[in-house]
Amino acid sequence: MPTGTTLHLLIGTKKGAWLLRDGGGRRSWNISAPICFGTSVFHIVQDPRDPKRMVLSSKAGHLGPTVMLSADGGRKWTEAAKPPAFPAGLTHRSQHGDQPRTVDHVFWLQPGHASQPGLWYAGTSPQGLFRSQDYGRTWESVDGFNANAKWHDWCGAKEEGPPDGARLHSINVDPRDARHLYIGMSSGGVFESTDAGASWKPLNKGIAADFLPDPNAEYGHDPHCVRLHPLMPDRLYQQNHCGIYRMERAEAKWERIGTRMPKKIGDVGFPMVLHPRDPDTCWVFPMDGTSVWPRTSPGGKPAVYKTTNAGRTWSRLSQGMPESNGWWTVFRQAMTADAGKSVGLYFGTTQGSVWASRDEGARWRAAAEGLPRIQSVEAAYL
Amino acid sequence: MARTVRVFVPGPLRSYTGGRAEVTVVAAGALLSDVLAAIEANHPGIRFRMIDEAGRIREHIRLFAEGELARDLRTKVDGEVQIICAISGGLQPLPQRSRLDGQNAVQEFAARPIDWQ
Repeated sequence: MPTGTTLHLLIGTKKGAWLLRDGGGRRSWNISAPICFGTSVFHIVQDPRDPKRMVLSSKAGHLGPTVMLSADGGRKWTEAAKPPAFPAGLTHRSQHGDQPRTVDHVFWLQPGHASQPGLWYAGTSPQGLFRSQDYGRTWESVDGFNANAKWHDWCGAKEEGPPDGARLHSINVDPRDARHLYIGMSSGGVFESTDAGASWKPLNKGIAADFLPDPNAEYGHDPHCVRLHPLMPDRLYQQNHCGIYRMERAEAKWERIGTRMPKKIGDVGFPMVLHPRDPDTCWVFPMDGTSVWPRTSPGGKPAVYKTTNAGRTWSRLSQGMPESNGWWTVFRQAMTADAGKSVGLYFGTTQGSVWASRDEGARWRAAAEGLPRIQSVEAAYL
Repeated sequence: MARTVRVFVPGPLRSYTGGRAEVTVVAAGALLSDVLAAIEANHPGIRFRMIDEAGRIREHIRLFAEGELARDLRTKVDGEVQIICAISGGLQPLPQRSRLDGQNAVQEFAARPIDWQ
């Protein structure tokens, strides 16, 4: 986490991005004018290696996808000279026959390793991995993934993904080794590379896949959010379509830790947030994954769940949130933590509210309301 | 043969043209692809918002040459191209300030310093 002077929340929504600035003690928040107003912002992320820089993914209703860059803390934004685009000749299988593979939108942005200033990764829909070596100005295909002979097997046909499109997300860079990468795909599963993206192997052993013909499939799973702990990089947590998991990398097998969640709540959700200093502590935001998957808070009663022992037990944290009729949920990159001594937690809802806690989730209050559907929330120090 | 073409630009794309609704370009040939290359040369980045990496006109973009709907980029152009965003109210001025800075379109979405409320 970069060290700056003032905490900001970077909010990406269906209709643009906003910055929330800490008004003092994380008790009140000032909101900026909209950025890229009217466009769908899937992710807006600060560069921890150069904190004035930010990268933002944008898609307008009629226009192709693009990426915007700021080098002055979000005041001025310039479009990437060469946004992510698949190389010519790559195809996507479809019930209508093979189609040219094209980027629908840039979904996930990830700064590269601390030793590689200017390096960024982007995950797209359909599943694509791209790299920039000039702070996001131009993007190149990571062909070890995009042009891999097994891409069609890993990623499936066009119609087989989620209704909003299949996505590559959860790009994790091992802080000990810039060449060691993890990605998540919905659908596709978790994959790992130890050669900077030149080759990839699936890493899904132990993950349930009740929607696949073969429940023990090597890939084809639906991780919603995968996080590597920066202080314990061989520990991974995952909020999956089929539960909450933890992996100790040496064991190479995911353990379902969501079975300890209350049965009436279940362990389905989108985000997974890790404590910045304690690898045993993390937070999730459960949603209703029963029947046709309403994807709202279970029973309309929103709550965060927290574990402080790596998933052995979970506690409910909802003080300050609506006690009923909270029929919303939180998308996978719309919940985050700050680096405070008492960690601040933040999430944005599908109904346009930002909720904040300054005491690790114990108490919550609204930081902003009335925004469009929130798609991402990231903490930044500017 | 080079030709001068008038291009009508819808609202969502005017951040690339400094807010102008109409621009004139000199195309190297008579095809729509030539006109798009000329537009891109003058207004970098605009082509990819209309045409995907496989060379297809994007789903909600329509290009008209001399008032006729163009099905692909091999359509012949005489002197006029209209770019249309399907069912998009698009003739209002840009709500944000936009300008051209060298070769790149720049959009300033927030006043300096950021307009905090």
